[in-house]
Amino acid sequence: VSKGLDLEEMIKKALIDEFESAPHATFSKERVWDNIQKELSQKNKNKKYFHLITTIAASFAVFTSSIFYINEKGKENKDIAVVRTEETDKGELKEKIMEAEKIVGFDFKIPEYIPEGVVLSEVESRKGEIILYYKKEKEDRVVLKLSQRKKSEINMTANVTKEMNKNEEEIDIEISGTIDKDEMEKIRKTMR
Amino acid sequence: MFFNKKNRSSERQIYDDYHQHVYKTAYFIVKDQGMAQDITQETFMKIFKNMDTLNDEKKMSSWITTITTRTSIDFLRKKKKWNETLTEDVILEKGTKENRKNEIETNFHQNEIKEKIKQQIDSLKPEHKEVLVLKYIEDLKDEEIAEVIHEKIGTVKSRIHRAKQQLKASLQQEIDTMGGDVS
Repeated sequence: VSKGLDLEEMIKKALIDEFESAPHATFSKERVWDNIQKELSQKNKNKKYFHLITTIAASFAVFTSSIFYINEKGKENKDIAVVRTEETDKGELKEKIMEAEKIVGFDFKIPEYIPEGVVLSEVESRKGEIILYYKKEKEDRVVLKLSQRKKSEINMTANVTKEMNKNEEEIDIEISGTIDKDEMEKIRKTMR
Repeated sequence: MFFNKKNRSSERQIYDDYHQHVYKTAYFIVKDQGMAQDITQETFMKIFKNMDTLNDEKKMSSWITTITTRTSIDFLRKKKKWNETLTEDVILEKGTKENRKNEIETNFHQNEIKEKIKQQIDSLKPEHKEVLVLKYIEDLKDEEIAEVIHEKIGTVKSRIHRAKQQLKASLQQEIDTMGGDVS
């Protein structure tokens, strides 16, 4: 062995020798081929099942989401709180109004002036909207309705005496009823 | 696409052409016939599954070799075969040292040094064997190896360098005794 052996060349030769000297495979070439084909067809079958299962799962997810959405919608409707004020004392009324405020999500206004003989009978609140119903004492007939909505359009309805158009702080106020127009204006002006 | 994935005859052709190569490559890495057989099967499944990702027929051999080496390394990792191999090598090396005197007297021929290299090749890390196979069996350039094994060129160069250094270091003692030198 002389100086300056070409290690690169020797490594290459040794590697090729080592590579080629692998003992003969003990397995049958055809058996391995059959195994491969079986495994592949099984995997393809599994893949198909997987697709089927994912499709079913996706459909189920869509279905349950829809149900959830519908339920949420229903739940939203259930958030409408109706307080009959004649059945409520003043302290409790204040509390109920505060609760209503939580539901509607904005600070609604209450008129300081209300015509004599007219009383608050019902508070109906839902997310983004509150309606105060007033009626004549000892009568069931609603004579005044104060609607307050957040960022919504106001509908003008014929045959109903309407006084409204107060847009402050992104709250639409609609006053309607059968009481005198001047009274309605007074009410509107005292809403705080 | 030069062949259709669903074409059974092209699969068979590839299997006929490469099954020996795949087996030898796997055996080179794992040194276990049974495991090499399993790797051969697994490798061909990967090949057939991913055939449509290969766009250049010229790269088929190196592509198949890379899948084989990668699968072999995965098998070794899973079965922790590497540690066992390492233990065997230590024993082998001990035996070699014990017989050194006799061997030095007789190992004057390059063929015998080549045998020594072959012994040392077994003790290389699987990742180092992988780059050596791609370099010397597949005849790929370092850049091409980096591309097929998805590693940086620096990593490939470093692995080749370390593998050679390991072989060189183990041989140097023997060669020193014989008064030679390695380049």
